[in-house]
Amino acid sequence: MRNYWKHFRIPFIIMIVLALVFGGITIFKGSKEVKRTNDEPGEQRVFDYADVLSDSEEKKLEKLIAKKQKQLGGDIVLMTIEQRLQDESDDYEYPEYYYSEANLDLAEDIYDALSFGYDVPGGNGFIYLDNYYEQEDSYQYSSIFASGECYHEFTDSEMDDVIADTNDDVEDDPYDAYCDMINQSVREMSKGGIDIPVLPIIVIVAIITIVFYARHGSKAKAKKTTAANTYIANNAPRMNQVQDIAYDKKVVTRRIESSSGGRSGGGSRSGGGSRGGRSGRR
Amino acid sequence: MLFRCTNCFGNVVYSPETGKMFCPYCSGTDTQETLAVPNTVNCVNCSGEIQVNDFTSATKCAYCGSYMIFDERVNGTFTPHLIMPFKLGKERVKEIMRKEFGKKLFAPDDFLSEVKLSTMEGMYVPFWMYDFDTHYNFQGRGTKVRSWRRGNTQYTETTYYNVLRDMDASFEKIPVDASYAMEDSTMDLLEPYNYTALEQFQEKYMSGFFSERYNYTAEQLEPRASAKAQNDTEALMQKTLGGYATMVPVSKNMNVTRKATQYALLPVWTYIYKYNNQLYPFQINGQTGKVVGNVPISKKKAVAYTATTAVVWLAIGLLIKGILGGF
Ligand SMILES: [Zn+2]
Ligand SMILES: [Zn+2]
Repeated sequence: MRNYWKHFRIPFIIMIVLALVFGGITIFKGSKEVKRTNDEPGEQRVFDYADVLSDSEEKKLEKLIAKKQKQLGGDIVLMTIEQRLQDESDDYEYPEYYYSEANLDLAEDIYDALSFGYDVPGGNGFIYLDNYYEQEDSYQYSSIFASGECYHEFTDSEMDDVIADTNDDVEDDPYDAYCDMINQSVREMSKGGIDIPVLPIIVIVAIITIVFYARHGSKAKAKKTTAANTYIANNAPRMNQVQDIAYDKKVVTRRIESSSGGRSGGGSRSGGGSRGGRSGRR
Repeated sequence: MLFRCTNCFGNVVYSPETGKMFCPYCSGTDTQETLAVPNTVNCVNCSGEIQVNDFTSATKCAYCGSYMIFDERVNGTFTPHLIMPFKLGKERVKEIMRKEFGKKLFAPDDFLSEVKLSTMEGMYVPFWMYDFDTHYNFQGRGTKVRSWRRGNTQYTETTYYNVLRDMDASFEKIPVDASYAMEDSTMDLLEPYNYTALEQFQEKYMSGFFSERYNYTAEQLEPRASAKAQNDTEALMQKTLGGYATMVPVSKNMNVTRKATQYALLPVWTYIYKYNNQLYPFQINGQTGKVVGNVPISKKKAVAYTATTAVVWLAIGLLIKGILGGF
């Protein structure tokens, strides 16, 4: 057992130090609050125009948002609507994205019109606009519009995940789905660090463990330490004849098919400034 | 023969560290007189009964601890031509064992304990050493392949060779252990010994150690030595045949001529460790310190250490993920 503690001394110390760092960061993050400097939008953050939430659910969501806003340092707005989006796809640059773009534009307009922004009107925060109207393509659209710092923190793929997860649950239990949406969004934005996937960690640990076991459990008796010339006088045999006589040669030729190049296509869009968002259909 | 101290009548033994005869009782050096050991039945020192088998040529009295060499088993046809005196003493070999296996965490707790390691005994193992001349004539057909590309055409050129080799090799002192009790493969792994330390046989080097006379005659063991010479000759030939893509032998002729044999005693330390009713023998080259043996594994320790390793590193990995991810 003495050897046990001795052997694992360093890994144990590393583990304890990391656990302390981890605990410290957790406590620090939990206690951090950002003061708001823009009172223009008033108190209301939940606008249930589609009437999918009960009054008490709305109150509970307001409470959750009030708490999370301080942590995030950004406004969190949830709006449900039932609104037909005008089909102007001919004018639009990407007609196939028309409805989702139109819904996102609407979200931006609302965010600005109501002067949201934790620090300044039009500043930090995001709005989740859930449009329950079945558009002419028979889909409903949801969008997240993020502004200021939140735009930088909330990546496109994170937004897509939030929208997809919320859409999965919203039919069954809108209140639960929106709670999750708020928690998940704040969590995604306050991560800010590098996201290391779990699988490589498990693979590395498995390799360390296997190498460790192989080193200490190996049963090899010993390696051979003699060579073919160990017992030979002067360590080398005498070569009386070494002849390599070429007597024939054959050449084979073969045509090589020229390979064809591949095509790459597709385009990407990028938005400018510190504003933008994502839409999803359901 | 028994080496007795003229000062204190203690048993004088050969000391590998100093290369001299040493009395452990009075710390005297070269204070020995010799007593004849005419039979293998009773200790000449204490008359106690001695346990020997047909081959034992030197042993330790179970009662008084005296080391004695049986005269009839180191004389006449049993006189060794050569002996390699022990170069490493017991304390040095204990150090070597601790260094070699100290990091084997799964080994049982007392595997390297002072008490257990002290049970180690040194033994002069009988060897036959063979001198052989081998002559090897080899003829074969080989091909070399070259490939290159020009434009849209790949060229592959195959050249055919007649390969002729003729080789003489002189082997000196190929060792083959002549002890039934010693495992052949283990003895092979203890090689090589540095032969410059071989000396004319003298009984004094045996005092303090166990020994056997040869269990087999040189003729009985010659096939094993001859096989070693032939394998080595073949391996040396193969080294001269590099660079060929294919090689088909057309004719191979190898002649082996035995030139001389010598009877030699080589030094081997033996540590026998018992664990879970199984014996784990370790043999250590008494000249070079090379160790041959399998370390026993304590299952309990293996599980504890391996599981802890996995858990601790997984925890470290996940904590790093948590900290870097900002959770
Ligand atoms: Zn003495
Ligand atoms: Zn005795």
